This record gives sequence, structure tokens and C-alpha cells, in this order.
Amino acid sequence: MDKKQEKTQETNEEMVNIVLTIDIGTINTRVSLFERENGRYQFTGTASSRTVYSESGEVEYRSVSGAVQKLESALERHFLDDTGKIVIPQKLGMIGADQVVLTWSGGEMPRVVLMGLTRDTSIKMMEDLLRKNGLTSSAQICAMDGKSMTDNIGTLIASDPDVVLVSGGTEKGAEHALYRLGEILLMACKSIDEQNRPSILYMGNSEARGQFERVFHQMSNITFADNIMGTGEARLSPTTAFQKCMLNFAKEKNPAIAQLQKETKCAAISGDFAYGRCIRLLSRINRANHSVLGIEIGANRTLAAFGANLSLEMSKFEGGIGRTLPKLLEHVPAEDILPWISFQLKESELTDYIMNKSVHPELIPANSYSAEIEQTLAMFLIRTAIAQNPANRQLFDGTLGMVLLGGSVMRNVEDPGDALRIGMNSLHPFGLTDYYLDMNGLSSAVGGLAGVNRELAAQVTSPAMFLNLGRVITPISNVKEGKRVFSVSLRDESGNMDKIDIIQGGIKRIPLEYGRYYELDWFNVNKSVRLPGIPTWTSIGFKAGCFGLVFDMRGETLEMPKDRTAQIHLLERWKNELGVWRE
Amino acid sequence: MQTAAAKIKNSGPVRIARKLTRNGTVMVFPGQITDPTMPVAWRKVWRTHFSINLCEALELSRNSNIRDYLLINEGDFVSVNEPIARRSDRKTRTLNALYSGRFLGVCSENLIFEADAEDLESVSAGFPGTVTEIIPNRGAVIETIGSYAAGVWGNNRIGQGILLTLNDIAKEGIFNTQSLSMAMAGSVVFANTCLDPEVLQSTERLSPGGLIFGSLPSALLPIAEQLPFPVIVTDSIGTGRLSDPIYNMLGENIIKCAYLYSAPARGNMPPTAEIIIPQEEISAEKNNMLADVSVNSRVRILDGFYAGEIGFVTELLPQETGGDGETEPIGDRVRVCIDAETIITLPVNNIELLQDDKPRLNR
Repeated sequence: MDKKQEKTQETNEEMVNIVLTIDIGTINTRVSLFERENGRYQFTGTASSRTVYSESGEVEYRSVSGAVQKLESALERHFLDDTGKIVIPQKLGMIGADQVVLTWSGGEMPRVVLMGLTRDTSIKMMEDLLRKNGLTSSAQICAMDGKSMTDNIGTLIASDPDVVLVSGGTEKGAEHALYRLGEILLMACKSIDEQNRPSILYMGNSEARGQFERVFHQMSNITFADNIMGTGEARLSPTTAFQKCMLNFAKEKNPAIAQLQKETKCAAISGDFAYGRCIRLLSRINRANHSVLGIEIGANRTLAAFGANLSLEMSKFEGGIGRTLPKLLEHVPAEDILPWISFQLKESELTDYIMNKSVHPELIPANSYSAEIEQTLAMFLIRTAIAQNPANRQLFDGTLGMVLLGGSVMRNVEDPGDALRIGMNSLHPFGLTDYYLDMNGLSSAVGGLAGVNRELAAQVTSPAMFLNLGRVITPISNVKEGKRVFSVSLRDESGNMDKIDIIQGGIKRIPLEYGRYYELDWFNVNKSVRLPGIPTWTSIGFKAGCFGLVFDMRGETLEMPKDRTAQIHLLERWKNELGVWRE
Repeated sequence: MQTAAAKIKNSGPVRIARKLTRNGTVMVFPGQITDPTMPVAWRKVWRTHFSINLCEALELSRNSNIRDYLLINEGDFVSVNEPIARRSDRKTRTLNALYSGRFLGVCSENLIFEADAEDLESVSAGFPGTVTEIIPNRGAVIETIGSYAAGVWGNNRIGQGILLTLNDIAKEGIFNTQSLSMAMAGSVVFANTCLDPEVLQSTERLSPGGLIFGSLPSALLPIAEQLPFPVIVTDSIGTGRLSDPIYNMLGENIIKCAYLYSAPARGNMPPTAEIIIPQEEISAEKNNMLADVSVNSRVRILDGFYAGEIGFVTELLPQETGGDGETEPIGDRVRVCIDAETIITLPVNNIELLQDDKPRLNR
């Protein structure tokens, strides 16, 4: 971005006082309002409405207007005109908004085919690009695989692609090998009807670019981005170019996105990409050298994103708490889930619940029993998503500093303790971890805002935006159950001090006053105890969350006893030990 | 993507769009009378690709312009033994097609052909009706007069038969060994549920036109998926019964021909499980879902202690918004009166709107 553009953007940001973020999810469409007062942005409120689909499954504009209307009635403000369109920019009388930002995770996602020269570089870099967007490729064609041209044409056509990414070659590097890939793509395009030809995003070296432009510009919709190998001139980054492809696809498939973009000229990025960006931003403000783990359970997918020093490792499990819930059973048998439910339930009843939830994904648990089933399923969704993430070792080496829990199943808990328990039971990270709950579903909104309103993003991106559940400390200990593992002292801002012995077994919660600062010191740490990543020789200061300080002394692995009565007893014990936030 | 509102029409115009997820070829025309298996639209791809090295076949030097020797153009279809290239200089060579296929183009001295066009996606009508509207490149809208119900699960099959219920079903509603009879052959039979996997499996021998259940335990779904005829679950997965509106709709159409249509989720489109019973009554259809829930709406409760109960909406409660940053907005809720002494408040998501406009049968 040149200086003139930066200046224009800064000027525009100065004029923006009211910002609406809209997140179109699979089940709900959520609208959040941010306002600037005295030069600082703050979050004002949020409202959500059911996402409305046409008979053919396209997201309709009613989803957006319905959510905005609810925000209007809740805040007694007006954002829509008489025809149901968002007024932009804001008019006199506080009507409308100055800026609208859209993210979406509902609706169909594009099928993407990767074509590259080598698996180690070009294909891998394109895979990384897809992973940042919560996508995986439906097929890959690599010049080094040695497959025949006809096999590659068949692979490309059979995958029925919406977007084809082409990359390879450093600048002044391989050129002819790229032309061979181009020939495969050309033949495939000739074979596919003109109206169904995939969009092409070229991210290869600039030498072959001209030839690709000449051949494909009348054949299909082709876009050119900078070389993904990062050695070319900087014009359009692969990430931005791919986001444009995603947006074009989403607009084509969902009238709501097309209409909203046309009317408000809003910035729009995919929800999964925005979520990843939020986690990356949080990783910057987290404790030094500690990572952030974001968990987002959606209706159709579960995201697990590790962020550390602005880098991101995001995995997506294609099972969520809605229509794709039965996919969980492909990874975890129902008999393994049952021991984690604290009341008598048959395996058939559990699978019936899962199947019913898949046909009625919008259902909200109506009683504590169905709520517990759903929370247990959420726990296993997290475990499955985490197992697929290459960065999951961070759970065990003490580098994980913060966990952000999100998704409607987390937000709709009766007490935040339920969300904390889901997190603790599914992740069980060693060391010192702060748990947060995204109570208002703002993480995707912040990720979306970061691209267009940096000031707002910078001001609201902080742990304070989320509900601080508490700090959980999990040691690795071989000390026998019931024996003292270590002692700690806690000193509050007024200097009052408590000394507490921590015993092996169960969960030890030390309730603290929410939002107050405390200092923790360690004494008599047993030699057989390891506290990964925790400096026990010095004081640790922290701000107390809802559950204060929690010591998870349940051992290295969370295993349930075989006996059903013992299982129920153990789950109830853990639940009671953690308790609820406000009695 | 599922809709929470049960779509039931006792009688009237039934208007159903059958369309592809991507552009393809529409095979029907406005005014055309459809039959259940008639393809409405399809999208084909060429599965097999093969190449012929022309330089080797015609013994040409590597730097020859091979296009000069071609007898066919890009996009041409060739049949076996049809000449596709010829050399008539000092060496005379003719290359005949070894397989039938379409000539795609020339690529590095190879001729690329494709063969075996297969359906990537296709949609069929599923019921007899009239094509009233063409959706360009995607499909068509088909209409009939009759009854319609959308279920929650189907085994992705299409079929039809005379609609029957068996005598003993009227008592318990459970499809069991006693329900199996030769009368099922070619018929569409409805029941509340089936609990016995062996009974469900053995229906295959009786070749029914289809089965309709109010519910089916999840353990029986894999069996239902394997059956060669359509199985549709109308209300829930588990062991519940047919909801009154569906029971009434089916009961009123006994011995009429019922068409069952189910398809998996494709692209944006949610899974489909439909029962269509053509007849000759006309009434207006409302397009509404939960948005049309109003005071006095007749609804069924989907979850919780009162799951399955039918009641009337007595009050709509608006959403409460969490503006304090700590509390989650509570979704829209409604008060539902089940009987004179039972009025409960629950999320609007947990009800389904019943759209039965006909008097109900006594069960």
C-alpha cells in the first residue's frame, strides 16, 4: 500500500464512527455494533436472527435485515431505511452506519484444485493458503508426480472444481513445466461446459504469466496474483487474490452476500479466514512466547487455530454441532462418548440425539439433559479437531497461554463453568492457561475489521473483549492422590495473603474477585512435579476471571473408570469441584 | 440448512423445483407432462481421456506441424475406424480411431480424446406433473394438484406405490413381524416406527413401493439406506410416532398413488425427503416457515420434556439483546399452550409450524 492510499484510508477511518459487522453463519446471522466515543471504539451490542435459505439452499437477504431489525429494536436505533436496506453513511438522527463489514461461514464453500510444480514448495504453499481459509483441496495436480497428461485431465475434471490455483517456479526459474500444467488446464477447460469452467488464480512466476493470460483470458475467469513463492513484484498478494475468488463464489451462490455488498460496498471476507486472523492478532498481545488456541464450534465445522507471534496453524474438522454432527461418530464411537455423560443414557439414545440434531440443527437444548449431551459432543468435536492440528504438541509443552472458546454451543451454556469444563476436559493442557469465552461471537468480526478499520481492530482486540473464565494450572505429577503436590500463596492488591496447599486429585478452585489483580507465589514444589512453562521461582501476576484460579490436579490423562456408577460419580465430583460462577 | 417448519399440504397446488447445483442441460419444456423417472436436467462430464502420439503413429519428425495432418477439428466426435489423420507425402500413413470419442485438442504432439460421458449430477421429476417453468440451465418447476409433505430423512431413492396402512399399525403403530404381508408388494406403507432391524431388512423380499415412518431409530438408518426402495422418515430420528398432521394427510390419501422422492444434500441444497400424492383439490399454499409463526399458530414441540406435543402459540416473546458484553442474547421465544393447564415458554427454534388446514382424523 503506498503512502497516498494509507493517507486516504486513515482519513476514511477518522470519519467512521458507527460500524456494523455482519456474520452470516449456517444457522444464525449475527450483527454487532461498534461505536466511537471520545476517540475510542467500543462494542455496543449484538443481535442475531435465523439465517434464511431459499428452497435451493441459497442464503437470502432476509437473514441480514432480520438480524439488523432485532438490533434496532434492542437498541432503539435505526440502521435500515424503509426498503430494508442499511443506510450508509450515517444520516442525521443517528440513522444508519458509517461502515459495514461482512464475514460469512454459512453457505456452500468452493471446491478448489491445486496445480503446482513441486509438492514441497508450490503445492505446500497453496495448501497453507487454503488452510488459512478453512479449506482443503479437492484434488492436487503436481508436475513432479509423473502422471500422464490424460490422467491429470481426468483428475481435474472429475473433481468438478470451482477454483483452480496454479503456482510454481521462482522468478526467472521454471517456465516450461508451468506450460505443461497450463496445457492440462486448457484441455480440462475445453472439456468442461463454458458456463461451468472454474475460475483460475495464477500465482506462478511472472515469466509464464503472459502466456497464461493470452491462453485463458477468453477461456475462463483468470486472476493474477504475486508469485506465491514471494520473489516477484508486489501487486496483489495471493491471500487477497484468493479472498476475492472466495467472495465472487459466495456472491454467486448467495443473494444475501451479493445484495449486501452491492448496497453497502462493505468489505467482505470468509468467516474462517477472519477467525484465523483474530487468533493471530490475539497471539500478538498474549504473554510473550506463549500461543493462543482458538476453538470455534460451528454448525457444520469445528475450527482449532493455534496462533503464536502472528503465525497461525489452523485445522478444520468437517463436523460441527449441526447437520454434520454424525461425522463425529466416524472418528469417535458412541460407546466412547457415553462415559462422559453424567446420567444414564443408552447408546441408541445418544445416536438418535446426534441424528436428530443433524436434521434439526437449529434446536437449542431444552433441558439440562440435552444440554449436557450437546456439551459432551462439543468436547469430542474439540478433541477431534485438535487431533488433526499439527501444532497440538503445544498442549503438552507448556507453551499454550490462552484458550478462546467460541461457537453457539459454548455461548448458550447455563453457566460459564460449563464452557470452562468443556475446554478443560477436551484440551487438558499442561502448564498455565487462561480460558476465555467469546460470549458475543465477536472473533470473526474482529478478524474482518482488521482488514478495513485497523484502529477499531487495535482498540477492541484484547482479552477484555471476551469473558475471562479463569486461569487454570495443570501440573504433571506422579504424587499419590490425596498427597500435597505444592503450596501457593495468593496476594491481592491490598496486600492480603492466603497460603494454600494443593493436593493431588480432582479440581481445586480458588475463587477470586472477578477483574482484580493477584500475585501468585510457589512453595514446597515436590521434586517429582513438573509445571511446564511456569517459572516457579518468581511471582506470577494475573487478573482474576470468573473462576479465579483453578488447579487441575486430575493427572496426566483424563481416563474414565470402567464402572458406570463410578463414571457418573466422577463427573459429578468434577462438576461440583469447579462449581458455578455465581451461586 | 434444514428448515424447522414441517411443510405439509393436505391438498392444493404442489409446486416443486427440481434443479442442478451448477449449470447443465435442461431436458424438459414448459407444458410437458412428467413421469417420475423423467430426467429434468443433467450435468455430464467426460470420465475417460486418452491420447495418441501422432508423430509416432504417422512416423513424423518431431518438428512437424502435426495440425497439417489432421482430418478432424477440435470438438468433433469420432467413431471407431474413422480416419483422424493422414500423411500422403513420400510415406503414406492413415491413422484411424481405435475408440469412439470426442477430439479435445492437440497437446505436445499428442491428440487428446475423451469418452464415456457420465452424469456428474442429474435430477428427475419424481412425480407426475406438468412443467410450468424452466429455470435456465438448472432445471424446472413441476406442478401438480395434490398433497405434499416434507420429511426429515430419506434414503436417497425414488419410488411410488398405492398408499396403504396395515390394520395392526392403526393399533400400536409399530411396524413389526405381523405387519409383513404380501399386500405390501408395490405399495407405499406408512407406520409410526419400526424397532426391529430384521423386520426392516425383510421388507426387501416383499418389494414394497416405499415405506414411510414417523420416526426410525438411528441404528436402523444404515439398513434403510441399503434398501432398494425409498424409505422416508417424516418427523424425527428415534422412536416417536407420526405427527398428527402427517398422519392425517396420509390417512386421507389411502389407496391413492404416493410418490416418494429423496436426494442427498448437494452443493447449497439441503437433503430432500418428500411425499407427493397427486389429486384434484386446490388450495393456496403459503411459503412460510418459522417467520410465519403467530399467535394461534398450531405448532409441534421438537425437543425437551414436551417433545412431540402439539399446541397453540399464545404469545410471541421478542429477543433480548446482550449489550453488556457478558451475556448472550436470548433468541426469540414463544409461549405455547398444550392444554388448559400447560403453558410453556421455549425458543422459537424448538418448535415447528404445522400447516394442516384440513380437519384431523380421530386416531
